Amino acid sequence: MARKIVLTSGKGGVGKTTCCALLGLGLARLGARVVMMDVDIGLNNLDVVAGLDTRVMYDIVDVAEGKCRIRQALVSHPQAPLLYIMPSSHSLNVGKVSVEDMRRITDELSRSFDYILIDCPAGIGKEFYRAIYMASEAILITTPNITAIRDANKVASLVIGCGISDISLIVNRVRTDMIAKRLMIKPQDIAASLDIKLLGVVPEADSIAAAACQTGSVLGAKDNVNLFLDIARSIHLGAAEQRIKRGFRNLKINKGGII
Amino acid sequence: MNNEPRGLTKLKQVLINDKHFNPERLNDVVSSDIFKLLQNYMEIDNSDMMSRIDLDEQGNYVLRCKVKCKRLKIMGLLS
Repeated sequence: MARKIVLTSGKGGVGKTTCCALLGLGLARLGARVVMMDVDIGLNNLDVVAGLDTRVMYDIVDVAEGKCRIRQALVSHPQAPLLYIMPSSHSLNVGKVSVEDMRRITDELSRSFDYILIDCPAGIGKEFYRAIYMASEAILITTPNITAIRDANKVASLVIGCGISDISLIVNRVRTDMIAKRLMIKPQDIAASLDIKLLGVVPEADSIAAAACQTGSVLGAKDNVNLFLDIARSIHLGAAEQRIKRGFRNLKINKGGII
Repeated sequence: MNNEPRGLTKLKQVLINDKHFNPERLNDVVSSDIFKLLQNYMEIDNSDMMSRIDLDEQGNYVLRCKVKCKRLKIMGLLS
């Protein structure tokens, strides 16, 4: 069964989709089968950010309406064969996909993938809850701006209220020069203020900004790719450690040793 | 003297201010759950209980609860 991780923030423009794409790539490079789901119906961008927009034939609305099978809508990445996206629709009719449809699709995807990364829309409307109800873990994305952190804090309360207790934090667009001049809040202080474990700190990167402005796709940018590989590793190995611990707990020990 | 960056001071202030705005009816729901729990151990009416959620200076929630109880249920007879 796949781990279903939602990337959310509350505030728009903090880098959720970029982080989702880079994290997906990182996990796929570790050998995990990853599908990134864009549930921002109508304001879809994950396909462009992943550089797969020209390959999209069907989308999640087509799957929900029975126009195609899930496998037909999935698009794989040519440079990372284990990385797929489930594209969102560009139709502005956001009410077309119900929570039940989403659950059915994620349950089916869960059988074929190790990770389902859910790119959550900004805001806290119906679309937000539709994304949260599909997930079992959450990664909050924020920048060091007070407004973004404040929204992340509110979203954390909503996520916990929806029954997700496994929440971690990525602080995006950090500038160490500004931290040194005490003009920017340290990611550790942000995590402490939110009382959420810090999963990663992502520096502001010119190559990502340039890629976003020129091609839209960030997966070819040279910066931060290795950093997200490290973040992916801590998610992936963290799960492995938990599995080992669970394994040890399940072992029965008698006089003759472990049975 | 406060040594932390100005942004962090402001952030803490904003987050604490936000905590003042609890969702409506949260206190009612918490109160109702506590009431149900306490009914297992004591004879109380709704009017005997007052509860309130406040914030302390560090931004922690403090639940204040005052209950007047007419009679405790004897342990052997708990329902």
